[in-house]
Amino acid sequence: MEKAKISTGGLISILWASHILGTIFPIAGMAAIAKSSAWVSSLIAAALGLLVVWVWLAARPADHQTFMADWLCRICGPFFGVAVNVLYLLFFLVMCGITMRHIMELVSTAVLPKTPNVVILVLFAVPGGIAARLGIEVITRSAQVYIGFSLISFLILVVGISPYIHLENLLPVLNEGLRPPLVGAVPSVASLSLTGLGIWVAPYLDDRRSMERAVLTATAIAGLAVVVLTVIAQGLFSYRGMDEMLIPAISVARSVRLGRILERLDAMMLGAWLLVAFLGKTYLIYLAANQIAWLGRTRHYRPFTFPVTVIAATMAMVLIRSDAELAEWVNTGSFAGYVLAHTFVVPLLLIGVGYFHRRRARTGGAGPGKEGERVP
Amino acid sequence: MMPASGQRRLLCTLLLAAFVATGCWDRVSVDEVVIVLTLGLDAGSEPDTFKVTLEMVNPGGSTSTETGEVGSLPSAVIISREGRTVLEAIQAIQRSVDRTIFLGQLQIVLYGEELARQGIAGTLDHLQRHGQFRRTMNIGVARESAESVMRSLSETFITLGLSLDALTIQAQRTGFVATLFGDFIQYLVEPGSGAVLPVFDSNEADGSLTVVGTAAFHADRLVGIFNTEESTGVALALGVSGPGLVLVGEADWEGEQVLASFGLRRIRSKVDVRLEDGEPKAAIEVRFEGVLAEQIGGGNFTTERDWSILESMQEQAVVNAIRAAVEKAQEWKVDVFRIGSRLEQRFPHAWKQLEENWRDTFAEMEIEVRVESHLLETGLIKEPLFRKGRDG
Repeated sequence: MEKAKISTGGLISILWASHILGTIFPIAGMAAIAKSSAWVSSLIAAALGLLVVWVWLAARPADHQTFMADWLCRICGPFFGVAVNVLYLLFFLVMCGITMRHIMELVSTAVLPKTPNVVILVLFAVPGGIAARLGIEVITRSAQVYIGFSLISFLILVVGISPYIHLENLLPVLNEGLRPPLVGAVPSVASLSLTGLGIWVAPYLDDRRSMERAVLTATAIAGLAVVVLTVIAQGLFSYRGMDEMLIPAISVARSVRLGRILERLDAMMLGAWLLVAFLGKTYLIYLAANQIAWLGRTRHYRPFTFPVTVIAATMAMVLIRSDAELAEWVNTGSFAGYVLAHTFVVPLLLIGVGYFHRRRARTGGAGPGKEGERVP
Repeated sequence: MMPASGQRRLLCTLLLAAFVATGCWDRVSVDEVVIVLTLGLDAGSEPDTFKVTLEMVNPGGSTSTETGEVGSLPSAVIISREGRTVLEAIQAIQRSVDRTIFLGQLQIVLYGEELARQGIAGTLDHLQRHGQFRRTMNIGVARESAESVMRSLSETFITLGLSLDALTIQAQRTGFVATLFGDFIQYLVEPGSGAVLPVFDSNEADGSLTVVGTAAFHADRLVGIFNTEESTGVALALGVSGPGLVLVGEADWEGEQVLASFGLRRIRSKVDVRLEDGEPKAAIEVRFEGVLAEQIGGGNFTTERDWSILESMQEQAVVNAIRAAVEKAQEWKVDVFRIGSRLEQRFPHAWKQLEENWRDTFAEMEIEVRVESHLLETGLIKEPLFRKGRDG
């Protein structure tokens, strides 16, 4: 762990960046499952995303200065605490690898089709490793600047595209009941729940309230972005058009046309998106390196950033074979289950075990923190 | 002052950046590409083949080809090749061009009428899949063949693709539709709906490029071409007419035929659908504001008493155009007004029963035309200087 102080705005920015995966594939998945109610699906995803993150917040350490890794040991005991921390280390590594793969696929599809994938991966991974070494303070401050670029490009997108949106494409609503929109929302809920990873850096914030504010605001903004993007894509292409697309966000960016003069704005849009995705990946490298440092009982996480980057980059290459397989895994495969197991099920278990400890403490037994406490 | 270790790291990073940044596989040097402005697609000479015609602009000034089709430093060259797929034909063209073909600035895709009547499904995949094509490019149909229209106009227009792109704006202002590729694809996949594209032709007499009609597609096949009046009706019903559209209204006044040209603006339209006893009914509603731009015959209609004569003339002109389009669309059984799509959106359960025989249902259904207009201005004079057949 390092000596650092981060602001609420900085944490909101980096958490929003960590959700960037949710803007690539799940939108097409919603259209495939929920059909014309895809936009309802996005609303449900935004609401459920907040609920899942609220569970995350309820499972966080009671003491604001306690790191999550320590808290897991206090709640689960020394053996299971280490096991759960190893589980989260693997989760961070896999998510980092998946984020890198998303970046690689997007860049190779939309920007650099002839450039070998390995080169794209190295180009984005190495700076990520360097940035992660610089620490959470630098990452969050950079995120605040980059999010500004991202917001501006998103606004240009909305303004440029709005004349071409046909709102009748949002009809009919819920004609096949509520189940399809609910099922279609699950991958998006999973990616939104990644904003809950903010509790890993909670001690760097001023107080407990700032933490809550940052995580909930980031989730709400990310959810709103998903809703806006889904409404735009469905209004432009109808759900049938969305369903046919591998990455609707690229098609949306390519549809921006300002007065027949500015026609190729997609590169600018994708540039801003890539900056944010780069930060999301950097944050995950940072978390994984810290998790290794904690497991190795050292305060120095920096030596682990490059090994983590190399492992994640390797995972990005070997976990998935193609962009179509990645899309299928995210939209209808085990992605949602895998993520929600870490961001919803484990926090629920933590809440349950914490409740059990408190009851035992009230009746005279040992409470959390009495046993298996371990501070790096 | 940066410490020595920091300087070393910075140096290593810069060297690494220099090493990888200069080796971009996707670099596009402007003097190594030809920019494609128009892509023409026709049926090939063999069954199940396509003929692709590209209008290419050489930003460097000259392009040599092995076929000798290029004259002395022309701005654009047009080359056609055939293939079983679009990309195979483009690759065949690439063999004749010493620079890389770049499709990122393509302005318009032109389908030859013959291929359009046979079906264009086989050509759409590459246009959707290839990363360089944009959904905002124009799309249209060329009378007879795309190649012949492109070649006949190549000497008149330095850059045909840009002229075609500009002409689509004028087409919208003069009663025709202009369709973007992305919208066309969307309308093709909507159940029951047809799509429309502008039809271009070259005028051999004066070498001009003209929009001559509107092609109606059902699924991927061209079914018919609307004439000028019907095209205006389609554009008005779909609400895609640009400001400045002029329609001529007719009236009989005191035994005299009166003609008046109205400039239409703020045109809004919607297709309203309903079910009566399970039977689908539709109404095309158009609202607009008009300006009296020209009057031949008649007297002073700018009085409060006769103002309604002018308003009914402009309304009738719009109603006639839309009715003509509706009749032709029903004759062809092509729902270019997207009534089926509206029914699916508003009555999804009823649509499931209607979908199977939608073309027959559309051909026989009652389609009402409702027009509401306001005449706002009458120009600088009150009445024609001479009354037809009486004065002068």
